[in-house]
Amino acid sequence: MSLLQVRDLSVTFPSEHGPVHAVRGVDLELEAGRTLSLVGESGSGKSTVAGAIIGLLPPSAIISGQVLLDGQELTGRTDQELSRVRGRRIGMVFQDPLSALTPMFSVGRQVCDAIRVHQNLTAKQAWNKAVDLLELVGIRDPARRAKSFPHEFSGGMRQRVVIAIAIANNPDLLIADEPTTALDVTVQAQVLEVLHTAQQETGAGLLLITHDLGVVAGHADDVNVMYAGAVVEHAKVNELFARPLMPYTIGLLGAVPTATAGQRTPLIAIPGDPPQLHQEPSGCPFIDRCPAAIEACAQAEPALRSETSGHLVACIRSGEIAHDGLDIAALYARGNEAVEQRSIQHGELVLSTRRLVKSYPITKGTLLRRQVGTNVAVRGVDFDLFAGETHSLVGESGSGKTSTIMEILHLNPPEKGQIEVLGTPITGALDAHTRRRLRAGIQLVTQDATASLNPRLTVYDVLAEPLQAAHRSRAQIRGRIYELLDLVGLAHDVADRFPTAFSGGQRQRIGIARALALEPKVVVLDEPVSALDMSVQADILNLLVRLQSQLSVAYFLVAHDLSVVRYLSDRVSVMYLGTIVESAPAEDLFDYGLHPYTKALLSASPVPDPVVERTRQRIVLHGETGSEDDDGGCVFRPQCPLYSALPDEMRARCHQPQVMRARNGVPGHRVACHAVAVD
Amino acid sequence: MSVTTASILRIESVHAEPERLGRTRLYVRRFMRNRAAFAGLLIFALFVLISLFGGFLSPYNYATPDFLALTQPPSAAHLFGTTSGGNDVLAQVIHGMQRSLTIAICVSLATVILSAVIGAGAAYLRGTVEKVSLGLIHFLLVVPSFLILALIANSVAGDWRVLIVVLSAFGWVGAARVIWSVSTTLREREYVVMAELMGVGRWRIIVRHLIPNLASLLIVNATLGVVGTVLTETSLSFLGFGIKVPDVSLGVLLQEGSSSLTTAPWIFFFPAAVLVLLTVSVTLIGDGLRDAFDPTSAARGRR
Amino acid sequence: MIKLLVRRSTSWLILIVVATNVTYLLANLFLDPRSNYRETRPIPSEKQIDDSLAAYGLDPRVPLIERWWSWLRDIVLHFDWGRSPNGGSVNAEMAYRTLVSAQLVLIATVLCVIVGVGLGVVSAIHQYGVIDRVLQAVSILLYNVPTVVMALLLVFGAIRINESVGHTLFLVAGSQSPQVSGLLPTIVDRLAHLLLPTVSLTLLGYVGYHLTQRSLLLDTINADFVRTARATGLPYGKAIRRHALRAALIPTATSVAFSIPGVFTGAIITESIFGWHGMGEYFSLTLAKNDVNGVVAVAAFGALMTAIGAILADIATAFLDPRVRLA
Repeated sequence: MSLLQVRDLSVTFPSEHGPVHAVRGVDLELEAGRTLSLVGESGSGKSTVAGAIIGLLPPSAIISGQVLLDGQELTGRTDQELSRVRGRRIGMVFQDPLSALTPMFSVGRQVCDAIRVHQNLTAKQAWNKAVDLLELVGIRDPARRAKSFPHEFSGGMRQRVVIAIAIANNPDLLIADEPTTALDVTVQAQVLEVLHTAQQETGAGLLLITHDLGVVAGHADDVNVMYAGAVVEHAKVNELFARPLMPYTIGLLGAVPTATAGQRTPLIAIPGDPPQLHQEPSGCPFIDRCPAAIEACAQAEPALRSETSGHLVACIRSGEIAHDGLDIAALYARGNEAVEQRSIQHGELVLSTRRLVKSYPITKGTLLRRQVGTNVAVRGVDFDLFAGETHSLVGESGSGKTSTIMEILHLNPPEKGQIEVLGTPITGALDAHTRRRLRAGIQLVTQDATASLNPRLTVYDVLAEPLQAAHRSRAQIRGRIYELLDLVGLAHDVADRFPTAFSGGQRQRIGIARALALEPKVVVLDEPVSALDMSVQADILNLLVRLQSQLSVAYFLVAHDLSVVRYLSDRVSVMYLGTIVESAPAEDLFDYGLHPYTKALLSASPVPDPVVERTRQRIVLHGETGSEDDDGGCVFRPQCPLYSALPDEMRARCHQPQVMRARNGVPGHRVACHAVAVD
Repeated sequence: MSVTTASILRIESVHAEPERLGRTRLYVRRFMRNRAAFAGLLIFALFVLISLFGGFLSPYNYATPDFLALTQPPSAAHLFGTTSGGNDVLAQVIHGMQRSLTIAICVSLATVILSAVIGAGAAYLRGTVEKVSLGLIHFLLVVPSFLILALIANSVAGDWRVLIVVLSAFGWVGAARVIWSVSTTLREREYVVMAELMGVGRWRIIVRHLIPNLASLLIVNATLGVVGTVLTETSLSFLGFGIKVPDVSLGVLLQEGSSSLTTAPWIFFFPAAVLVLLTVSVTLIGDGLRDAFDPTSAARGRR
Repeated sequence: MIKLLVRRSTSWLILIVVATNVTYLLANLFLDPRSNYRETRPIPSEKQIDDSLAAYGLDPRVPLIERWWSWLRDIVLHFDWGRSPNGGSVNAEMAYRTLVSAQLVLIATVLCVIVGVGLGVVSAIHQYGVIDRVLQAVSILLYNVPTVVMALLLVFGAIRINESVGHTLFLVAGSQSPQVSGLLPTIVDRLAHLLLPTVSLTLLGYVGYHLTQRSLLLDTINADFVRTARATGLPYGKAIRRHALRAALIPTATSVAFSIPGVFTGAIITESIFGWHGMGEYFSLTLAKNDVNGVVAVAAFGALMTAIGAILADIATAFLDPRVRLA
């Protein structure tokens, strides 16, 4: 008998606009010791399935169907009965580790409590066991750290604690709901490893819920693809990635930029948005977005059925796809026609920084703020951006990439070092005219278009704002706004709507239109697609590529997703703890990255290909960023796998100040590492 | 820059979601669905109408005593009875309510405006302006304001217009602190930062980006301010520091009623009932508005 | 922590000094102690009035700055807060009345917190249920009953009951009876006097705690860490008590601390109606009697209590919230 069986599970929530059918007839089956992945975009219902299994949905949810754990029915049980199952038989890991732990209790106490809910141990025994668990999930010096409070831990460390709590009573089933979405890639690699260890240790079945196809490729045995509240495809992981049958899955896989497909080649952009689940769909829920939809698709919602052995799919044309060579990928519109590959010709320098430094005071105490030190966020960054090219800054949270762009965008003289924008050095107060010219010349697109658009202004007013600030006339503004809407592919009639009326992708288009309003030479793209669903990401990436070739604007891209960076960039600089550790032409960096941090970053970044994911060697970094004293030497030392392997006499060099060394034979490839060979 | 390529691009139109509601209509609908709030609105409207046009409800003038009817219980001639001085209680209650409402509404409007300008201004302009405003706010919170209110109100011999000024002068402080702290988070909002990076002027940002996003808070403050002012005014007048005879407010009436509580309870009960109904109705309106503006209240939709 | 508290206290002290002096100025501007004497018979001459006021440092012929200086000197050197226009010592009044108010108001505050927080928890757990709706309706009604009305209603009801029972069941005036001796009778007598004013203050005071505790708890009930706690196997009610309530009590502790100034000066109306000679009554008496020094002393006392409340709030927060404690 399977460990977990879900039969015809449906969940409905009441809402202001009527009931929402969040989950519709889902069947799942998971064996002990195996990993089943539930993958889908936001709103696909995947997290609701997890909530229904463990019985933690809000009381307003209406649940039908069966959840069987070892054949034992879980649905319809009272909270009291379920609480004997939760924690003991089912452990759960949540998405946001920053809020998942109670801030008032020490982490040790929280693990301890989780043990004592189900096991009759003395406080002392439980505490010792908690310390053991914390050690198991990779918390160094666990006996001491157990007494710390959650706010003293980083996100990755807190997620380890959450995992420790989840496995505290050796559960048979582990549910991980987007366990690494909120984390940096190198930390994600660490946490996934811990989760794997935990699963091995307990022999539990793992239900892994994620939107990241790379994580699925690396960790799942079986995969369920969810769309509009239903499972639309189910297969073993290798089968699914090699021979996807559902047009939706095919679209998703084509929407992810990959190293092999090459740069700037148009990506599959699945048109439209997922349906709102206010009514049960009468036909295939994917019909409006599917390139192969035929009349029969509207007749009835296709059932999930077996196409080839072990491969289930909910598409009436799956037979043609599997056997008759119906090429769905070719049917998808590729956004726009291929953009000619450009060679990087060094045009004029539009933006540059030299030895840029930015520090923030560290204040302590919420009662009476006092400065206790300074946090140097940016430590001497040199960065050049030429007209029409894309130069990316890659790094994890705390690396100082956001501080760098904000320092440039504020157009104030830097604390130390130089900034030059459009050939004008920023020194002292700029006169109003120069200031306005530079403001127009460098604009920003942020990650979260929802947050960057004032909900109380119409699209017209949003787009008018930069033009008004530049003192354009009313007629000029009007004309320009419609030009901009055309440029980003939005209909003119959206101008009088409010931002809330748009989907995430459309909002990002508005944000891009606003940034382009004053025909800037430089657009700073701060994580431009990371808040978007996979299928929408591709759409925006296509748009960005098209706009750059059309307008020859230079992009200063800041991103953590390496596939996006590789897709868009001409040059890439890798940032770690406020310094640039390596800078190179994009292809060169991705193929021949030299710095040990670059290598770790590249190896930690998941690729949506199970064959690659499971064969390549992964460098998992240990410890946390910036955990040692700053002696002016290499800042990566505490985490560096090379440093720890070096003989003592070689180590001394790493304590010398960092210098950028050029890689032999490759112009523009420079690396700040004493230990690595540069030929 | 050319736009000709646009014609060959896929033009995306806004997707239609079922029953997409305008923001204001959504608020109105949520408010009206709240039965208690709607009842509050009706009661309050009735009170406002009575205090505006209620003179015909009683044939007597509030200040002209009927010496033939001293301390009379409610009767056909005097619906609410009379006071020991022979004044018609109904006429007095109507006048007192009008006086109390006028004071409350004026003070509430004045304090909302003061608190919004000072709170939002301090938060957005930062620097010296912020320091000075916060210093003033803190200072006024330490000063026992009720005492100073009483001190000043007492010496102006019960002029209701001066009372409005004094109550407003002290009433804005608490609200301004709240608005300041909300504004300090608003000023970090990405769209505010974006506006700054586009070179939009400071006052323009305050007017376009800060104040509209404070609107719901301000509206709720205004209704709660009405309740607070009515209660403060009542206390002041009851203690003899606010409105003074011959002028009449609900507080003055309560003072009058308290002295003959056992012998002529109607003098106390009628103004007390009106007072409680009035404040309850305004509180219900305020609660209804707060729920209507609250984005998380969507969870209470229909099934 | 100690250093921090010292610094905080210093800045509060400065605010208190400024506030007290501003009140002194305002009180001298708006109060006229001479008017008290005009009501005595025979009416004394202006000179006689001023002469008798001069003995108490209230002579209006002396420039304000000089009066202020000697007032301030007496406080700093002898901690003497001056005299009332009829010669009574402000210090003596304050000492006596503080104690009277304290018994009344401390008990009421404790009751308010217990009742309010308890009902808040019940309300939040049964959000939108029948219990919650009833409790909220009662609270909203009480929230809107002015103190005057509540106190007078209680007095009215008590008198009616006394009349119908035929003997004095409820005591409606004063803080103690004159001829009571012995420990037990004294305690019983005090409690009997405390009953009605305490009920009045509690009924009006618990509402704030009820409504805020309810919404605070509702904010944390849906927090991720409560979900984590439930996922470890804690039943809903336990998860809320152990995790959500602990977080939601932090702001309440702060507001209890901040309510302390109101504790001593906020019972003005209740004390007036129930005939308690406490700080609240003193407040209205000094104003009515043009007692400049008394008014200022009340103001200073109020400001001091605000400061103590704020500092206690800081300590409470630091004690309850590790994020602040360790900062």
